[in-house]
Amino acid sequence: MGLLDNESIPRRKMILFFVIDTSGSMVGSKIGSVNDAIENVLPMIGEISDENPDAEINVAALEFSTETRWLYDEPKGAKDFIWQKVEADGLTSLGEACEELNKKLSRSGGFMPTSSGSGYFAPAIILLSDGGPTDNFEGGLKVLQGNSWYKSAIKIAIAIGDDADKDVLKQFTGSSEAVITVHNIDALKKMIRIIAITSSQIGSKSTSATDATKQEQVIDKVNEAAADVAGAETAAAPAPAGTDSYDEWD
Amino acid sequence: MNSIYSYCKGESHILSEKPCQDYAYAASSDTLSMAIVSDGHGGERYFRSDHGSHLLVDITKESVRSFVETIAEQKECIFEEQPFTQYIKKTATDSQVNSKAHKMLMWLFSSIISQWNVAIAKHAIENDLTEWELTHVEEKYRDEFLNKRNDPEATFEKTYGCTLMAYVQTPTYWFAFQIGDGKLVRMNIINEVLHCDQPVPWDSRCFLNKTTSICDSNALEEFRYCYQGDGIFPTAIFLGSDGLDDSYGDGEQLYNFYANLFKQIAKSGKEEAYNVLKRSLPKISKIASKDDMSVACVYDDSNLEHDFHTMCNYQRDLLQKEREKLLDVNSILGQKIDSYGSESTLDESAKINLLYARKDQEKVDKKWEKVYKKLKELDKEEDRFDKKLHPQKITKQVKKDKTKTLSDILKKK
Repeated sequence: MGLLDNESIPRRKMILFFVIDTSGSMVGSKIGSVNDAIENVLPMIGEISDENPDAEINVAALEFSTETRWLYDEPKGAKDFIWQKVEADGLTSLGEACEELNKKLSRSGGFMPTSSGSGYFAPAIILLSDGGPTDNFEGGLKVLQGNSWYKSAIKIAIAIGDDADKDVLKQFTGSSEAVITVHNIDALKKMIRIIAITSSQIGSKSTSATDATKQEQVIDKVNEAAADVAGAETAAAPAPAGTDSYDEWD
Repeated sequence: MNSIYSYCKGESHILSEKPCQDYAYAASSDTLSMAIVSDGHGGERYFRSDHGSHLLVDITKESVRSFVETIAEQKECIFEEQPFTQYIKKTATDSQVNSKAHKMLMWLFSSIISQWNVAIAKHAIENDLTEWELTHVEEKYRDEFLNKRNDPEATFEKTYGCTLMAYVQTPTYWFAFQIGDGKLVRMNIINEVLHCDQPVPWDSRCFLNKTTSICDSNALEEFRYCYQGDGIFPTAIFLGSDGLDDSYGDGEQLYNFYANLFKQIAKSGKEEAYNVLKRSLPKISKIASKDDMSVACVYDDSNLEHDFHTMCNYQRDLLQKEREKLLDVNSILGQKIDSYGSESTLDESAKINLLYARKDQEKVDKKWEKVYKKLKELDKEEDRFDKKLHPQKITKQVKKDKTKTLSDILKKK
């Protein structure tokens, strides 16, 4: 066995988490668009993973309504990930989702096999929600905020429609710039794609020489792309004043 | 005792035309052996961390020599008959903090920090911005540096910031210390069995690309260490910068790499092992972490032939453990697949889960074959080693394990 035994060098990994609100208010075109968009973006993330010499991208999906449920009990390679359509019904247990995410962002019983981070890139977490939490969100978030993987993660949220609680999403991501609001099906699909691809591309690269964090890089790129998406709104470019709502979900 | 070390520029530094920011050193004699590794920070603000790491290793080398001489002059050695002891500030006890060993080590670290700060200030004053720095470093960091040069009270630790780890061994004691990331691995042979661990306590503030550093304002408090003076010495100690553990992880695969390095020394001698290491590190960086890589090692060379076999047995045990794990996984997957029954009765979700279970079973089978192949290679390697050392000796015939595939194992059952 030589010193350079390629097969003993594991490929560095990055996990992309989708955290999806499947509460009753997501019923209809909203949940349909989420299913459609994620199903279509997964092969693209698979390509990024294949062509990326730095890391392999794995995907995990957590849906939350009255309860929480992981689509699979371990992250799957992006290329092999078979999307199982999620359905909408029930309440919005985002606090419980935070606690569940905390459990899996750990070594013991979780998805992260190392406590020092060796061999892994920081994960990317994309939260999609159209409303406000109906459980103890602050308690759940406090638990999650003590987690080192969460603290290092790229965090982006998509607020689906005007009824989404943007303050909650800002608390989750850590900044208002990381919350993108979408007002129609087309914008929702496009932003899921842009955010998933940008997070995967930047998150799975070796640390650059610049001091801008990966989070900052992703936010900058996503905000720049969102400017060209009709129906997408960022903190830098909010909706026109005097508009009560311009959601179009039919 | 003997030693070996090497370091190289990382693949990402080659592509971005940055210098190698790692530096390493190792040396050994009957009276004093040491290994030191320092890893300069990669962020733009730390644009002279390559000089920082080089200066830090040189200063640590001399400081350790002086420290060991000071201990030797004392009536009672601070480490004499001390059992294995670890320290990190977070969990330190009063008796640890009040011990003479702790006070002396803190004095050593304090001396290293202050000498380093003097050295980098001298370097900063005597060396203008280079052509590379003028074209590659962001203006705000160049301006920060230039402003400090005009201020006699200014310090330059951020520009030169780096990590540090060191191992020191004398005939009667050994100690190791660290600030920042990178992994210090100890190999002990106890009752013919190799044990690997990381004796310096880990600092949880070193996570992903964040690390504690000699350039932190509270650097002295961030040092952590271990020592032992009761006559028990490691077979080998390996220091590796985070480029290594980002490539291999910080567990058994990293230990396996070091076992292979030790075996290389036993097989081909130190000089050839150095050449192999020097050629391998850039390749590992290219395939894996892309980061600068450095390795420094101090090892007991009094029993290389015997220790070679112990290393092989360790690797064999790791592979056997992996086989057992694969058997368990295969069994669970088999039960899962059986539980689904006829595919025609399944809903969409169950069909997908069944498909995944079958794919996972295929992966397990492929891994099993790879492990089998590695076990065979290990046997051949041991045979070649024995024949080379004892060409006339008839080697023992080892019962050949023909269980190449998982289905062979299942058939046997």
